[in-house]
Amino acid sequence: MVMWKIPGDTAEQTSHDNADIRAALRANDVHRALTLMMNRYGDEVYRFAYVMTRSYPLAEEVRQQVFVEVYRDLASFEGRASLSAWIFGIARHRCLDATKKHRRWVHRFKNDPPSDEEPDDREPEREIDRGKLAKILASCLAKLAPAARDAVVLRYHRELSYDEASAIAGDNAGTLQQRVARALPALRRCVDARLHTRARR
Amino acid sequence: MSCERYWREGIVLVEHGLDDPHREGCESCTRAHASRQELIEALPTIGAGDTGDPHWQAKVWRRLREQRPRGLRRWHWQLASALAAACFLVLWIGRDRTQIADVHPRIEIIKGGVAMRSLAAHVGDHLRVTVGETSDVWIYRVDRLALACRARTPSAGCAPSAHGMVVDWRLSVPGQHWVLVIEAAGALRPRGNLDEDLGALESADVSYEKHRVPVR
Repeated sequence: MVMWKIPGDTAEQTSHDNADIRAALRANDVHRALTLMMNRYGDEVYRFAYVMTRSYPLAEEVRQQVFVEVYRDLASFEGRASLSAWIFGIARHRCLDATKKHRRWVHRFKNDPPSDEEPDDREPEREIDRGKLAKILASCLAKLAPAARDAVVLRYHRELSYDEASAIAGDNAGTLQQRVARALPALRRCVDARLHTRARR
Repeated sequence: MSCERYWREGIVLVEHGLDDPHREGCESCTRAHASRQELIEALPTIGAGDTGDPHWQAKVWRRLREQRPRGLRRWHWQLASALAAACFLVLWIGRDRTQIADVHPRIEIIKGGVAMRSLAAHVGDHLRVTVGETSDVWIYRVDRLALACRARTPSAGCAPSAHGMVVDWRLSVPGQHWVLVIEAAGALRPRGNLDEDLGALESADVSYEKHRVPVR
């Protein structure tokens, strides 16, 4: 009889106690554990996958694949990382695979050529529609280099601490901080350029 | 004017969770920081409210169900592969045994107890001929018979083995030596002269192998 290892989940005890998942795993009720995990993380994984792939069909495919793998690999999950870090680690890899498979990688994730212009923050108190800004941001994120996009998404879309993001990305926190610090000006430039283009229309 | 310093240095401090004293007294840097904040606040809203396929969980379960039979099929394939490998092994061993009973003739020059790779021999070396159990061996020095071994019959220099016979002949004089391995044991008796014996073998349509061994 397989005994499931119980994840520590120290990192996420503030947001999710996951006691129910741990109890289900302890009782070898994998069906219930997976159902709870899908209920808890399914939509977040989907949104994460959408930001990473910028494709709804790919995001859906990634989400389903992630939970198939979670079920398959539960026995090998050692609980060294939190459950969510483990799930989003899988999601991140599947996103990279999915984008590669669709041969969109090169076009979507290459960096824009560096611009000499600094971000333009002269406009006072811009009132930008949040929905529009989110759409623009999604398309600008896709233009970042994969490593930079990973860092920004984990830190500010998933709203993880750098330590938590580090557990998923496999890079140390300082490296991620540097990547985010370099990526944000590029993101700001891209957003400003799109906003100016819209304003001229 | 845009605060270049903020986007180069100030933002690094912010990401490292450090204070940026410069920003306090710099209006453009404060604006730049607000601009960054706007991004940071907007980032979590990407895809907010999108939940995708409402039946996605059912699809996950279906995938898992579909994978199980596939796993079984994989197990069947593995079993079939193992059985095929076992059959091959049995056949191979059988084939090997058949071959053992009919050992292909091997001619070797033994120098100081070591089998040489070539048939170039010197006086003092040994000629070793290994044949199957249905072969006779005739050895000629120049063109005269020096040794005749009958299959399965022990005699000087001729030692039957488990799978045939091993002939050992010391090469004591230089010159051309010939080894005839006659496939049909006992079909003919050698007359003593190479040419005559070859003629007799040809006439009787007995198959044989002829090997030349030069001795210096």
